[in-house]
Amino acid sequence: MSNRMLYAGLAIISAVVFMAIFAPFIAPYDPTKSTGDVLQPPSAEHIMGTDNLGRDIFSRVVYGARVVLIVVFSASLLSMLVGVPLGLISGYYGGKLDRVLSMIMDSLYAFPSLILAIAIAAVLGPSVFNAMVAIAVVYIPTYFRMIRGQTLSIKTRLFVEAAKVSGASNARILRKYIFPNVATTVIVVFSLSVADAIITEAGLSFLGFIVTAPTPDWGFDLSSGKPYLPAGYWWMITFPGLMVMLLSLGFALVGEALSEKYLAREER
Amino acid sequence: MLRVENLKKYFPVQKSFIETLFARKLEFIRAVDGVSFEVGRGEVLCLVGESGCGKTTTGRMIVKLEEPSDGRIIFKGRDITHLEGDELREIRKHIQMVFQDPYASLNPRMTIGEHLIDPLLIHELATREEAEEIAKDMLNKVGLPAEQFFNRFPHQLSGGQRQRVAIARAMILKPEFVVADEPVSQIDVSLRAAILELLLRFKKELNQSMIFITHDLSITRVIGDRIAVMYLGKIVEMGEVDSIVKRPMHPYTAALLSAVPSFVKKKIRIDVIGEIANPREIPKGCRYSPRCPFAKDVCRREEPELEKVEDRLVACHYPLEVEF
Amino acid sequence: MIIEVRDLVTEFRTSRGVLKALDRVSLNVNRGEFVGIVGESGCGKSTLAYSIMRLIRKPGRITSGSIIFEGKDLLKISEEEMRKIRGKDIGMVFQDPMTSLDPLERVGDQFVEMLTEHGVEEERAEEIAKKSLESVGLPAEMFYNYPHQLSGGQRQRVVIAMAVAMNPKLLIADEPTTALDVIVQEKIMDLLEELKKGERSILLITHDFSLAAERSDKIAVMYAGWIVEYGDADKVVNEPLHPYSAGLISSVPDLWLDREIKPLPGSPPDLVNPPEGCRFRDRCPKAMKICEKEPVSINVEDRIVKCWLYGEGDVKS
Ligand SMILES: Nc1ncnc2c1ncn2[C@@H]1O[C@H](COP(=O)(O)OP(=O)(O)OP(=O)(O)O)[C@@H](O)[C@H]1O
Ligand SMILES: Nc1ncnc2c1ncn2[C@@H]1O[C@H](COP(=O)(O)OP(=O)(O)OP(=O)(O)O)[C@@H](O)[C@H]1O
Ligand code: SF4
Ligand code: SF4
Ligand SMILES: [Mg+2]
Ligand SMILES: [Mg+2]
Repeated sequence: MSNRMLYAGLAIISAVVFMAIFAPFIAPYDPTKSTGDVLQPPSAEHIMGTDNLGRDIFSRVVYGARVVLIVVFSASLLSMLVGVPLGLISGYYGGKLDRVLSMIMDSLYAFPSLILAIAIAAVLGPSVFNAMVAIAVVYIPTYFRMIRGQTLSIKTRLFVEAAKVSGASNARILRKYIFPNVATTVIVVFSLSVADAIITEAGLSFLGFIVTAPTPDWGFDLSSGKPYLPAGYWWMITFPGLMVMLLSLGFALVGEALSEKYLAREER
Repeated sequence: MLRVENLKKYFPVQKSFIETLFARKLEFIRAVDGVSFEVGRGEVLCLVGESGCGKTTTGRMIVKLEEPSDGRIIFKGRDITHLEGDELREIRKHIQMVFQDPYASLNPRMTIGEHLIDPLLIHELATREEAEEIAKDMLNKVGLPAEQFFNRFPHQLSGGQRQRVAIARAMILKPEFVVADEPVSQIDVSLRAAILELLLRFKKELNQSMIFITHDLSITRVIGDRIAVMYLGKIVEMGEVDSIVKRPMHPYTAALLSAVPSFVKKKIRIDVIGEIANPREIPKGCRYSPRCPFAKDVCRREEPELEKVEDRLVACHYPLEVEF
Repeated sequence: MIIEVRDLVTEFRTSRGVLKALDRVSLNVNRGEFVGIVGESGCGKSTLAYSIMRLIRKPGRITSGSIIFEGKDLLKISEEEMRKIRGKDIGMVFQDPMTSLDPLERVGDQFVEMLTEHGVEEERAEEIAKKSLESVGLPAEMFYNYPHQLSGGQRQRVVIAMAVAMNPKLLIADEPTTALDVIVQEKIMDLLEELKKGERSILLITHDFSLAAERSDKIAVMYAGWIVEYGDADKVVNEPLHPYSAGLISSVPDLWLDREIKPLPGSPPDLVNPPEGCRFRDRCPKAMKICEKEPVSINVEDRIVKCWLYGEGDVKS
């Protein structure tokens, strides 16, 4: 079961990454230029139809994968680079530092991710970089909490004490004895938080915090298509929306599969 | 070599929030409650006693994994009770520990070889290449051919093999003092003798002193020079292994000995009343009195001191005269 | 004779192939006898106990042999009949009392449930349970406690009380004291010996040779799925016939014996691909040419031994 989930997820992710890298070869039209035909339903020429400015939706969907992937990947890497060391340090040393950090992280964690991201993005102003920072901040507590929790339990394990008796410094214990034992968790949290961040990114973009016209981006295209939905032009939002769901699902599958395969086993 | 004076460790009792609200004062588990002994160069002192009597805690304080609540630890004339930082790291080179559970004392994500190299690098005793050589020699020495085991991970080894690795790691720094905490209790019976032999070989070769913790008294004859019997955090009898095993004076020692299974029929049998005592509620007077079949009124009033009786120290108002 | 195990084979299917945990094991236990089964980890002691109870699960299977209990072959009766025998005629005590006690249910409720399953009426069940608790030296009030409120020794007593409540004729105890202190161990062993009085037979499985020696009438030594020696406890301990029994005995430290301990060299063979001939051959100090053939179990001085040192014998067991 978990193997099938893993492969399905990996297949989805690779397909989207492939699409983003080779967009110029895959997209039949220029995603920012009108093809002349406005609001055409899906057909052989335009398999996902065209939008209100006559742009090919399929081409926009293909190019749109680029922004999401860049923003979400770099944001998640950033949260990882901040959240993991903080979690390790907080869990290992404990004390006042741990209490302060935990309180900050818990209060950040208490906000729904999109609302927090909007608040930060609103303060920083709209731009791809700022959106990335906003999303990164949102997911730091996820890493922090998981890694801190695991560090708390690993640091009492006998092999850590054995390392202490050997004379290992705290930094060495963290690096050689604790971190390798939380590394699998980091990968799982990465997949799951990317899955969530994709939705958050779409939300931010929908509200115009990331890109401006005519850059193709799924969330942004959702908002441009929304006014046309009541009039029956369903294809403008359906395809970008489906892509958001699909990519998010891909990462969620990988994350769940990995956690089932590796984390559950290590608990024993 | 090592002297311990009036060592104590009190753990605060874990309570629920509500309990804390209504409790008048902090309650403590007196895990180790004033223990003193000496271990000479090349000597093995066995710490024995039933589960929860404070053996491990005593050992952990000596290797500085636990901060004593009171008392002093003196190693080669130097007070190491409260050492910290670099001074502590320097001392660690000389005092090593072998843990009870070979499944938990090795890092699952590190190769066997790396486990042995690490202590050498930590203390900057060798370059990486030299350390690898030393580690391989050590593996061969503990009966694990290096070419087979050097790059394996702990989960690929059996319990007995892991304990050999743990011993190799402790011995690679050539420590002068070793605390071995029940190193064979979780190992198959038929393999125990070989592990004990290995420990004894290192002891002889490095002229080590050792504290050997065990609840299995039959091992003391194999490895020990002296025995200290602990009950509820205190030593109740201490002396030469042979003489204690043949002629125990404290009723608790006698009961422990008479419960040890043996191939020979035992001549006497000495009982213990009731169940293991709770370290949260240490009885008044002699702490063994509620379970002692020989207890008299004095015992419930006055706590006996650990005093010299013939060739040993005994904490009992009425030392026994029995012979096994 | 209370139970007669004959040529029992129990196998486990593993990823590496079929593992014969028991290979043609035969064992007779008489009424009122205390039999100790000893051997290194993995030699098949627990598998023997579980096979007698017919509790071998999934990757495992009893493939041949017979287990005659009071004239009935336990391997031929239905699961329904077997369930009636378990607990009522044959009781079992496991190593870790927590595996046989539900931590969320009161001792008494579990006890009564077990008894009613065997057709005892509820009112009588409580009475029997309390009596049984008292018979193992526990206050009857323990009936109302949860398992976590008891000490390890008390829990093991509860498990024993449940195992003997229906007055089984055979009690199997698989390492009942491994998790306990010597002093508690001694008391539990006293209890088992007391329970033997009358007609009840006891099968004690342990890796502690001296414990078995101290308490048993007879000892069976197992090695790599075989019973290599079976006979009177005193004789097996004092003049072991099989080189493995001898090696095991001299590897165990003993407080009262003035002797050096000698480690057994090597380790037991892999049971997926056991070596041809005698399985103890590569560790045996007395191995000979003929040991490349599998030894037969023969009767020597009232003992059953599976070793070529004693020739082919004439009474094949
Ligand atoms: N970190 C701790 N916090 C609270 N109590 C503790 C802690 N460590 C040990 N104790 C308690 O201190 C007492 C002594 O424990 P210790 O582990 O030293 O016993 P032991 O003699 O080694 O027993 P065993 O034979 O079971 O290993 C026990 O009652 C135990 O519950
Ligand atoms: N469920 C199982 N699946 C596969 N192999 C098994 C299973 N149960 C037992 N075995 C194998 O059968 C053999 C006998 O195991 P058994 O548990 O009977 O040994 P034992 O003598 O009771 O050992 P121990 O002293 O460790 O309890 C071992 O080699 C073991 O690996
Ligand atoms: S002092 Fe009294 S109660 Fe304590 S061990 Fe001695 S005889 Fe028993
Ligand atoms: S049969 Fe041969 S190898 Fe096996 S135990 Fe006897 S003498 Fe040793
Ligand atoms: Mg301990
Ligand atoms: Mg078993």
